Amino acid sequence: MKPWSGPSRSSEGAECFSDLKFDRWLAGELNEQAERVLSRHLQTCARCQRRADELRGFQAHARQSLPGFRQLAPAIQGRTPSHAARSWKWWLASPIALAAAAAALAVLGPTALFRSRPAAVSEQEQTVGGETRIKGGTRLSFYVKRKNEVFEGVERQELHPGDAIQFRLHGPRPGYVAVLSLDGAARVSSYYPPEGGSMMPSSEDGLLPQSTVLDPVLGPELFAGIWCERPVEIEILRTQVAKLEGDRLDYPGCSSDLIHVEKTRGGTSE
Amino acid sequence: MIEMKGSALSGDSTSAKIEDWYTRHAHSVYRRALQILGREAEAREVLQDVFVSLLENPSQFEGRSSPLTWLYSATTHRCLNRLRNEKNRARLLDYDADSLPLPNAGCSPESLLELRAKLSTLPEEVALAAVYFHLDRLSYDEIAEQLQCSRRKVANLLAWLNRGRELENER
Repeated sequence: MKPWSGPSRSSEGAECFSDLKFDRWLAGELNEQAERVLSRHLQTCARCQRRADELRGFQAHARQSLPGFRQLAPAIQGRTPSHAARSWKWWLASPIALAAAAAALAVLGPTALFRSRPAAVSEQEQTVGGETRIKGGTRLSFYVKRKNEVFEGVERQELHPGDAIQFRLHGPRPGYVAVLSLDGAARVSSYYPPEGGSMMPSSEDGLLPQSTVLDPVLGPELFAGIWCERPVEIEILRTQVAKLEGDRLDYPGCSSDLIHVEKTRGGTSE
Repeated sequence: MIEMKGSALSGDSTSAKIEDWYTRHAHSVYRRALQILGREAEAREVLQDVFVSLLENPSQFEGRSSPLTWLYSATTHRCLNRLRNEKNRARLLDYDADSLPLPNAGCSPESLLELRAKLSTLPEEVALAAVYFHLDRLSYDEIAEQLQCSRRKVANLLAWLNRGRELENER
């Protein structure tokens, strides 16, 4: 087995500073005396001077490229501790890109603006009466654009009329996808494909190519992300969604993922 | 202790404090996650995990250490959990020299890769000590503060790490 040399600390002197100390210094959290000691040391230690420059440069770079704090808070609004945590990946973009993207949405209509890695999926096949049932392996998520904010929706998300939503749907392997919804009055609608369309081939990143602006109808709604090995008539899927029991759609060659949301009056989106 | 009344989202002063921490320390959390995991997307997820977790449950910070010390600890734990996850490990150890944007204070990329591969196999406390000592260049006293243990224990943990190395070299 190859010996592990490990990172060397032989270049350090007894007075050299750790990254923790530098981080405190960069945050302005050292007291006056500690700051004086560090500053004096930097004048004589090339290693620490170099490290301080590296960390300062990285801090400046991170401030440009990392999302702002305000993009965190919407990710957990409307979620109660009792619900299992769902994925809440950021829209990984700089503030400049966020503004540009919001402008593009307004002019061009909602487009695919989000980057995140695909969710891990697992799939189980079960043969029942000669038919193959597929459990698991499908993952539905959605993004909400509300005014100039974009965030990932969660289970029990509160949505408002005028919100624009866009779905991401990953299946266990290439296949065909659709997103239907069931509202409190037991009406089934098709978010994707548009009404009258057919199941569409899934894409590699799962992002569905259109978004929908929510209408003024309020109340609970269930999003059903459906993946099938082969295209299934949308009318058949509507029937399945209308009689949904439990937490998944049970149709041969298909699997699903469900998300409950609540449309409330809220503010108006523009 | 972060004082808060009601839920995390309704406590204005709590949220404001956490926002202040984010402003001051997000770059440190991200940098360290990037050093440990070696991939930007993973590091950004850890950054998000740490702060959203804090927003959801501010009481996990009990005020026994400075915010930065707590953030160092929270970040390290999350990164080590990711490395230990079998599904993640193969991907994270698929090293691409050009993908590491950050120099590591005299630690060569090859040494860093070796350390990263070993972290997932070490006992928790030894792994934490290894990160703080080799990546963060913390002193024994600083590591003791992070681990909330004695300096002597820090020495023992690092000695354990070195003994493991010696045993490997003898094979």
